[in-house]
Amino acid sequence: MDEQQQKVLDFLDVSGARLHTLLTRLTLSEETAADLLQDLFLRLLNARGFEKAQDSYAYACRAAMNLAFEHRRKMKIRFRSLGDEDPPENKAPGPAEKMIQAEEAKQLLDILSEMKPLEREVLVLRFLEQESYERIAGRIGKKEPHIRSLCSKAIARLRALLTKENKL
Amino acid sequence: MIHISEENIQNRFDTILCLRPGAESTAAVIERIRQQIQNQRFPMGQKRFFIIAGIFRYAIAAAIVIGFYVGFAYFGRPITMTSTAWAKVVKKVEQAKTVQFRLWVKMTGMPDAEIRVYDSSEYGSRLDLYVEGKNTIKIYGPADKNEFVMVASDGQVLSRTTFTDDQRQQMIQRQKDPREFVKLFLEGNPKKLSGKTINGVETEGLEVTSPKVGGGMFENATGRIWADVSTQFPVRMEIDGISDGGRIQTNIVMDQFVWDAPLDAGEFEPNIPTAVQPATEMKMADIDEKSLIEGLRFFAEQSGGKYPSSLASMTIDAEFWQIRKDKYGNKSFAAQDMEKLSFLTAAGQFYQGLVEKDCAVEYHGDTVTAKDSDKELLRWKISDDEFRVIYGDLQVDTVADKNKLLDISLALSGKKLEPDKRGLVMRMFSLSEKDLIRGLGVWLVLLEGHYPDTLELKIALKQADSLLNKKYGSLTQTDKETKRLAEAKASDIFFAGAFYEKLVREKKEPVYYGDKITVTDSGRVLIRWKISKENYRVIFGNLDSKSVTAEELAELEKQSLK
Repeated sequence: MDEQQQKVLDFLDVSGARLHTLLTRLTLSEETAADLLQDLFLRLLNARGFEKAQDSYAYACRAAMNLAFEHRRKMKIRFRSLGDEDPPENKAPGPAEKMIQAEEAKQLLDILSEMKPLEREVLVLRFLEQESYERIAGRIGKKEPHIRSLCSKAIARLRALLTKENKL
Repeated sequence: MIHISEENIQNRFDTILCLRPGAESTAAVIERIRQQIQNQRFPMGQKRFFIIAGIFRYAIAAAIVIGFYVGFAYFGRPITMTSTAWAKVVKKVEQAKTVQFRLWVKMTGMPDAEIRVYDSSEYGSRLDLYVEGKNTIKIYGPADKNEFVMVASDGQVLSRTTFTDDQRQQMIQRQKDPREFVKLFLEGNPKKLSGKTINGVETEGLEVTSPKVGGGMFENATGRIWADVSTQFPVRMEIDGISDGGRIQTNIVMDQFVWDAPLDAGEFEPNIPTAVQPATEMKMADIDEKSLIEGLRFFAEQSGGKYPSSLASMTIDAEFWQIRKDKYGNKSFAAQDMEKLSFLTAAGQFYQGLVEKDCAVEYHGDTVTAKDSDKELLRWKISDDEFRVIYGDLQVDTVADKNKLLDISLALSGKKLEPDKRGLVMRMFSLSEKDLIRGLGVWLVLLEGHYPDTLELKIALKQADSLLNKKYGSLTQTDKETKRLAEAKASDIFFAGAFYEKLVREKKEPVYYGDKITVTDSGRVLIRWKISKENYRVIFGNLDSKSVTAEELAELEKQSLK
């Protein structure tokens, strides 16, 4: 087993579960998250960037987000083209309120997938990874006030996009 | 209309936060991945099923072998080794004047191919391609010419591909040959294989797993090599490579090596009568922006306007051949399209170069089509302040990094810009058709399905001000949320007018029919402007948009004004 394989295996032990949780939240499906996690680790195994990354989790987290949102976009396009509005992962029956919540969560993630990568990353780190502004700034390589401003603008944009979506 | 508050957004995030996979499920998937990493085996995913008719299967197979062959024929750098025994192997290979070997290629979605390679430092190289044991095509690469000639078994000259000295050098740098393969083995911390007898020859072997094996053709690969203990010549090499995220598997076996045996000059001569012309004369495409655009254009022509969803070479190949199969079944490729294929290959290689050089490259082939003249298909950074942008209609532009320009302007002027105003300024820098459509959409709401008579800013803003006041009340008296909404609407109207005035300033001949057209006029022209010498952009009454020729526009306007 080479050094990179060992590094990826060690990383799987430490961060695999956390990444699986993140992917589950971003895809709203455990099954899809499992597939994407597998895809993610295949990529990490071959990624020079991961080999060199100082913060392995930050690198993997970004790659996971990209995979998840790419998946969302593909699903959206595919289902639109079939004239179907909802992907099957959200069809689980439940109380009305739960269904509304699930629908709202899905809509939020769909909108996120259309936003700029940096805005999306900041929002996911802040609200789904529950990171502090300071930590996000460290991960992204920008200053904390910049991240605060970015986050605030991203929220405003998200609001606008959601409002527009609901108007339609 | 439902207005979304920040609290609502927080609630949505909270709903998502409550989701957590089961511990058992997580443990199972982690264990599965662990096994796969340890065994270096990932599932193949969805298999691609297509059969390539005619000569393409051979061309594809040839492309794989040429990767080795070109480097092999022209490789001249000394190789330094650390392992004495294997250093001897490399030395022997370097000193060999000729070599012959058999190469088997098995690749997901492709027919198996067998290629026999003949190489002479004096005469050049020849590849014989076999399908089901029958020789079908020979490819000649004479030592004294920059060309490959492809000849069918019936003597028909299928193609001649020429390349320049620079391209030859590029190929040598890009491709790896069997000698390089030996070198990569030793660099990659190889594992010694137990000795075995191959065709009566006692051998020693090495195995290594690394993305480097195969010279970057694969995302990851395992290579094995066996060399004759007494002659120190390689007798067998194997590469098992994966690409396209594990969906494509390639197995290459090189065996039946014959080293330093005399070869006849006639073996390398295609013997084409001077009167016979190749069915296709091709020039090898340079790996540059021009080839990238030609490759994308060809793909869009074949796909009815779509682009590859990704510019990774294997993805381009997979999607292209699927389109071909859907469109033409197993019918052979038209000769005139052969050369365009090399642009597709060059497109993938050019993109790969941008990614490797970290040019902040962004590609949107999954959403942008050839009709989207206003949308960015691909962009990459060409300097600290500039991007190169290719739009959906394949027009190319160099654009400034507008954020950076604004920062410089502010620094020079010594003025400050409130953070919440920065977006508005940036929007002025980036006015596009989207702004026009968005503003027209606001007009539709305010005028209940109608458009304003004019988009001229002064007049339009005055009219909008009165309508917004009527709808939302006086901005000084209304609540914060309503005020923000009204301001957003006013901005949209402003930017639509600004875009219209930009078209006028740039002499793009905009003509607006808002006094005659309503939202119900779906096929009628609401506004149009010139986008090139022959083409116009049209927005219809229902706010759909389309690019049309001058003739089509004339017909549309005739219908619209009836």
